[in-house]
Amino acid sequence: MLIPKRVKYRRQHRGRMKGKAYSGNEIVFGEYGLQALEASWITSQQIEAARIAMTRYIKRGGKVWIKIFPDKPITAKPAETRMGSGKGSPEYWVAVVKPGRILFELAGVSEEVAREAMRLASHKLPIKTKFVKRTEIGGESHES
Amino acid sequence: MERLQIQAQPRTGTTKGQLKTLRRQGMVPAVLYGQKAAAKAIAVEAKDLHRILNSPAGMNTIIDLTVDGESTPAILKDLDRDILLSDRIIHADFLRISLHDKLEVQVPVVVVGEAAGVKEGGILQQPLREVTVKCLPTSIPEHLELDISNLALGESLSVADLQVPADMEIVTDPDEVIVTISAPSAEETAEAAEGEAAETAEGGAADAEAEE
Repeated sequence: MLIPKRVKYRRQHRGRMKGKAYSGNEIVFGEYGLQALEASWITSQQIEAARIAMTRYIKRGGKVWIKIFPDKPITAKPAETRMGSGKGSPEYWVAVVKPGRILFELAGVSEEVAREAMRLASHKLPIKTKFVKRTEIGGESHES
Repeated sequence: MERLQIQAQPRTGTTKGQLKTLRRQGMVPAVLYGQKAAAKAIAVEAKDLHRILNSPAGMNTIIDLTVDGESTPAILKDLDRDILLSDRIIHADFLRISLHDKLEVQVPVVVVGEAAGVKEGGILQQPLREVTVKCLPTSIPEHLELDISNLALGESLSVADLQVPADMEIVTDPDEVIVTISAPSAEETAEAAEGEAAETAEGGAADAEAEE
């Protein structure tokens, strides 16, 4: 799973997810992409599940790029613990995703294969997404 | 090269509300600048912009832009699109040009032929899709072709391999790679993927502990 090698501070504030993705909103490496339509935290487990769903479907051939990285630690307190005594311990990592962000890119496969692979991947994610093509203006929407 | 005739209206509204009203009427706010003349705020019809983009030369199409009855040769310099609905254009920049002076434009590179490496199962990757060329506006090519038929697995072609006419100069770094054939990724088994994931997570957790 994706996880930072080392971090300067172990705990972060939650932050806000307002606005759209003003960077990382274009297909750069591949031919096809999966674009987020909502804002959310995407955990490293969800990214990994989506990647596995995609790579299993495309089998041999094709190349997948993961365009997001979970660099935000999320803390949690143990169950049945009284409040107080400071902030909880880091439990998992998330990527902060805003609408418009390209989550995955794919190349080296036909459009039909790419669409199905992205559809399978989108079912592993907590947000609505749409399939986008490099040449296409607009793109067709499919929801997860 | 095809030249398009586009009618534009002078624009006075500059506030967010006025521009939103303009967009609702099917117009796109734009600006016309260049050739050492003052910049002019204009508005063009969205369908005219799509006509430019759908023409063979796309963004490099020479336009005769008529504002207040005065026609100026121009090209579409930049476009702002809606992030989620990329066919919705928010703003356009038009650059006044002189038909006798060279200008720098981005021209798409089209790969032709099927590479030998792809037949062997390699994956064609194209990191560079456009190159910057300097030429006269009347001789801007629609695209530049790059033959990849002899490209084997692991080989690549760079900007220096592009063939261009004598009156055209490539501005992009000649060493930049345009296409490369890479080996395909192997099929991943469930066990391998899960094992790898577990290892990474453990390693990462240990690192994080060390930090504290």
